[in-house]
Amino acid sequence: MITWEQFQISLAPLVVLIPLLTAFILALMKKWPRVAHSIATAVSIVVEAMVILLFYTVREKGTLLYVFGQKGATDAIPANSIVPIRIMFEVDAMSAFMALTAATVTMAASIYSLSFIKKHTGVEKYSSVLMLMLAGMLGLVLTGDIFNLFVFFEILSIASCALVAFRTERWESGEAAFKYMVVSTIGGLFLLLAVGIYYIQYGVLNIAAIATYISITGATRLNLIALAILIGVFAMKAGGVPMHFWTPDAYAAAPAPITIMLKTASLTYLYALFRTTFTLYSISVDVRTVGWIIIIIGLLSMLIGVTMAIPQHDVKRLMAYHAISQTGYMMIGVGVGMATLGTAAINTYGLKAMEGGIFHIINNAMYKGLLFLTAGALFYATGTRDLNKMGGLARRMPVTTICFMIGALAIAGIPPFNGYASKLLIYESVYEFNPYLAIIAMLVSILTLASFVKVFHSAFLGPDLPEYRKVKEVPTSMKVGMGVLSGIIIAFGLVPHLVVKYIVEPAALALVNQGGYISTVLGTAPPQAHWAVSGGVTEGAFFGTLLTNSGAWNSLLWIIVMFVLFLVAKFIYSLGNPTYNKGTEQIKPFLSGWKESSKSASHVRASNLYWGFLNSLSGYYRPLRRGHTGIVNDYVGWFVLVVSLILILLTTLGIKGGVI
Amino acid sequence: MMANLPFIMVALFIAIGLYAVLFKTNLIKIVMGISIIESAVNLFLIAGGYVKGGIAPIYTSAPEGEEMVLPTPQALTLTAIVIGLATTALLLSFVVLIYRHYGSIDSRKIRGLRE
Amino acid sequence: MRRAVSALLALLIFAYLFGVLLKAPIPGDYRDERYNYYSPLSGREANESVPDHYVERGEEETGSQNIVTSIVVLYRGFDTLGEVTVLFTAATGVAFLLSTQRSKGEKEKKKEPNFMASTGVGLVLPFILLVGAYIFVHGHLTPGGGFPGGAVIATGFVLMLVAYPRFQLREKKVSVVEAFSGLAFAVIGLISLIMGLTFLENYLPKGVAGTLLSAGIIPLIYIAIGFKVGSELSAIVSHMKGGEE
Repeated sequence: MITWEQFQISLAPLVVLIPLLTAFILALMKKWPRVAHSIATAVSIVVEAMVILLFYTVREKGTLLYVFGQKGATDAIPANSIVPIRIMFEVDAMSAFMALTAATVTMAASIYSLSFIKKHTGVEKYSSVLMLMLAGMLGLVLTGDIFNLFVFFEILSIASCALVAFRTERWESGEAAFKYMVVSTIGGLFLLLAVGIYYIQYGVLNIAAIATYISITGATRLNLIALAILIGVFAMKAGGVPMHFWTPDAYAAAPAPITIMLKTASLTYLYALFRTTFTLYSISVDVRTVGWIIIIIGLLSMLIGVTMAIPQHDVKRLMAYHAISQTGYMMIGVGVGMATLGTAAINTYGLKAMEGGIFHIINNAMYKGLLFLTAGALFYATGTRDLNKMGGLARRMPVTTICFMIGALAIAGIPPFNGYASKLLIYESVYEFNPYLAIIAMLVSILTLASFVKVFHSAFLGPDLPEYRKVKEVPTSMKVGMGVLSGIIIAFGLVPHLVVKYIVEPAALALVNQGGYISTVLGTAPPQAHWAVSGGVTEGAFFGTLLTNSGAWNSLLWIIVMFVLFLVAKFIYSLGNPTYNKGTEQIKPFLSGWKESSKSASHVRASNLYWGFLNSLSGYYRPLRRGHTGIVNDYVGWFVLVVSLILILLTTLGIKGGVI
Repeated sequence: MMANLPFIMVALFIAIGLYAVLFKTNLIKIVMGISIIESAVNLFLIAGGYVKGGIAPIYTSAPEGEEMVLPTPQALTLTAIVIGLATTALLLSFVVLIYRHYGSIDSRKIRGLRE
Repeated sequence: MRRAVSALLALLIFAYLFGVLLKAPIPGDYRDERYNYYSPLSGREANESVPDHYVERGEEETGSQNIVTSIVVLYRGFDTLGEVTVLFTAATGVAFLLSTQRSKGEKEKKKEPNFMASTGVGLVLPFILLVGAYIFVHGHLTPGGGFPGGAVIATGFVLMLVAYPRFQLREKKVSVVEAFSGLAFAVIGLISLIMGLTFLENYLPKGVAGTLLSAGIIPLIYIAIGFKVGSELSAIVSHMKGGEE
C-alpha cells in the first residue's frame, strides 16, 4: 500500500499529525489519567524516532518538500500555473535540526512527568496539551508558509500559557500565565500585521516566494516595517532583553517539565527569527545593521540576564535568568554570522560563529533542561523552591546531585562538556569580528559559574539539616528523564567534532543558503539571492579534534591528560602521612573558636553568599531592580519601545549601500 | 486618499488599542484593548484584499462579468478571528484565577512576581 | 514615564505606517503593477497570479461555488486544522483551569426563570439551531461555513444558559462530541494519506457545482467543524458560568 519512499516523503506532516491526533484522543480519557500520560510518553518516543529518521532523510536527499492537498507531494507549482498555490512544508537541515531538539526535550519532559504530576487532577488534559505543544513546535520549524507559521505560533503560545497555569492552587500561576499571555498575544497580532503587509504587496504567502519578491524589489518602507515587527516579536518570545520580563515569571510558575518545554519553545522562536533574517531578507537589507541589532540584543541579554540571576533566591527564577543570558550567546554567534553575510568573511569566521550559535542551541536545550529538571526534583523532595531554606541535600539525593553538577559545569562552559565546545566556537569567531564582544562573553561565563556555585552550595552542600532528614531520592521516571539529558550532554562533550560535522554544519550551511531554499520551491532563484558558501574544515587530522577558525579543541585528549595528571596527584598524595581519624576531636567544627551551635545556624544561606558583590554594585542594581516592576503594562511598553527603536534604526541605516 | 481610508482607520485603532493596553490598570480593560487591536488587524487584512468595484468571491447567483475581490484575505481573517476568540477566552479565565487569589484586578497590585 | 515614552514612539511609528500606507498600492490597481503578472524567475509573462488562480480555476478544481470555502478547506486546509486545534487547546485550558471548586462561597441563589426571556428563547431556539445547521451544511454554496454556523449554534446554547438559570450543560457529552468531531476532521485527512495521496486531498467525487451534494469532502469537513465549534464555545461559556454542580 505505502512504499518506503512514500513514507519518507510523508514523514514531515506525520510528525505534526500524530501528536495532534493523540491530543484529541487523550482529552477524553478522564477515567484513566495514568494510562493517558503513558500513551503520551510512548507517542513522544515514537515522534523522536521519526524525527531522527527525518533528519537522516534530509541529509541524504537534500531539502524535503511536502505540498498539502495535491497529487504530487513534491511539486510545489501545479502544472497549469507558475506560482505556488498550496501550503507546503519545507524541511531543510536547519528545520530538521530544530525538530530534533524539540522532540528530544519533549521525550525527556514527558518521561519525567510520569511521576512528577501524578498527584494532580486533570492529568489527561495535561498530557493532551503537552502533545499539542510538541505538535506546535514541530509545525513551526517545519513549515514553509508564513501564515501557517502564524497559526503554529498561536498554537504553541496558547498551549504554553495554559500549561503555565496548570497548578491552579498556587497564587503565582494565574498571574504569570496572564502576563505571558498578554505579551504573546500582542506579539502574535503584530506578526499577523506583518503577514498582511507581505500580502498586500505581493499576493503570496509562501516564504520562498516572498523571499524572491523581496530580493527583487529590495527594502521598501513597508518591508522595513515588517522586518522591524518580525525581529521585535521573535526576539521577545525568545527572551531577548529588554522584553524579557515575562520569562522569569512564566518559567518559575510552571511545573518543571513544562519549563523545559517553554525553554525549547523559546528556542524555536529564535529559529523563526533566524529564518526571517537569513531566508526572507538576507542581503536585500544592509546586513551590518541587522546583524548589529541582533548582536546588541544578544549582548544586553547576556549581561542583564546573568547580573539579575545572582541576587535571586528562588532557584527556578535564577535558572530562568540564566536562560535569558544563554539566549544572548546564540544571538551573538548568529548575529556575527549575519553581519558578515555577503562579504568574504562569511567563509572564514562568519560561518564558524554561526555554527557556534547553532550548536549552542541544542546544547542549551539539553543542559538547561537538565538544570530545570533537577530544580523540579528539589521541589518534589523538599516542597520549596527557596534556596534560603535548603541545605545538605547531596547526602540524600546523590543522583540529582550528579545530574546538577553535570548541568552546571556544562552551562558554565567547563571542559570536557558540550558547553565548552560551543562557547569556544563562539569566542574564537566573535573575537575576530570585534574583540570586546568576546571579552564580555567570557566575563558573563564567569558570572554564570559563580551563580551556579551559589546554587550548588546552598542546596546540596552544607550540613545535615534536621528538617530534611526524611528526604528521599526522586522516583525512577524522574531519574530516567534526567539521565537521558545527561547522557546526551556527556556524549556531545566527548565527540563535538562529529556533532558539528554531521548535525550542526549542514544546518548552518542551509540557513545561509537562501538561493537553495528558494530554488527548491520555485525551480530557480533570482540572481540577487544569496547563495551557498563553502564551509571551512571542521575536523582536524588527529582523531577527535574540532577545528575552529583559529584554534582547535580535542576533548578526548583533554580527558587523557587530566587522567594522567590525576594519577600523578594521587601518587604525590600517597607519599604523605595520613593521620586523619574519624570520630575524634579532629572533625568537630569550630566557628571563630566556639563550638558550633546548631547545623541550621552554621549553614551559609543563599542570600548571604555574594552580599559583598551585590553591595558594591548597588549603584548598578538599584535602577535595574526598579526597572523590573512586575506591572503587565510595562511589559508591553518595552516591546513597543524596542520595535520602534529597531524601525528607526532600520529606516535610517538599513537600506543596502546606504549610510553606515 | 479616500481609497486609503481603511488603512488610516487601522492605524488609528491600533493606536487606541495600544493606549488601552499600556495605560489602563484594570485587567479587563487590558483584555478589551487586545480585542481592539485584533479587530484592527483583521480590518487591515480584509481591506488589503479589496478590488475596486469587486463583488464577493462566490459563484452562486453571481452577476456576470464582474471582478471578484481577493478571496485569500477572507480565509486568513476567518482563521484570525477564531484564534482571537480562543485567546480572549483563555485570558478571561486567567483573570478569574487571579481574582480568586488576589481579590483585586488592578494591575498595579498584582506584582507578586517582581524583579 | 517609561510608558509615556513608549506611547510617544508608538505614535511615531503609526504616523509612519500611515504615511507609508497612503502610497501603498491598492490591490485593485495591482493589475497595472509589474510583479504580479511578471514572473521574475523565468522572465516570461505569467498568465495569472495566485489570487487569479483561486478565482478562475477554483470552481473547476474543487467543485465548490464559494471560493473562500475552497481556500479554507482545500487549498489552505492545513491552516484550518491548526485553527481547530487552537480552539481545542483553549477549550481544554479553560476546562482544567476553571474546574476546581469555587472559593469564597460563590453559590448563587437559584432564581426563577424570567417569563419573557424563557418564553422568547423557547420560541426562537429551534430556529436558531436550524439556521446554524443550514449555514454550515451549505458552506460550499453560500457565504458562511463551519465557523459561523457553529457560533450560531453556540449562541443558541448560551441563550438557554441565560434564560433558564437551572439549565446546565452536560460536560461529558459535550466534550465527547467535541473530541469526536475534531477526530473526524483529522481522520478525513488521514484517509487521504493512507490512500496514497497527500494529506487533505479531495478524494470524493466533485459532483455538479451548485447542488448540495458536491465539492467532495468540503461538506463533510464543514459539518465536523460546525459540531466542534458549537460544542466548544458552549463548553467555554458553561465553564465560565460555573460549570456542572
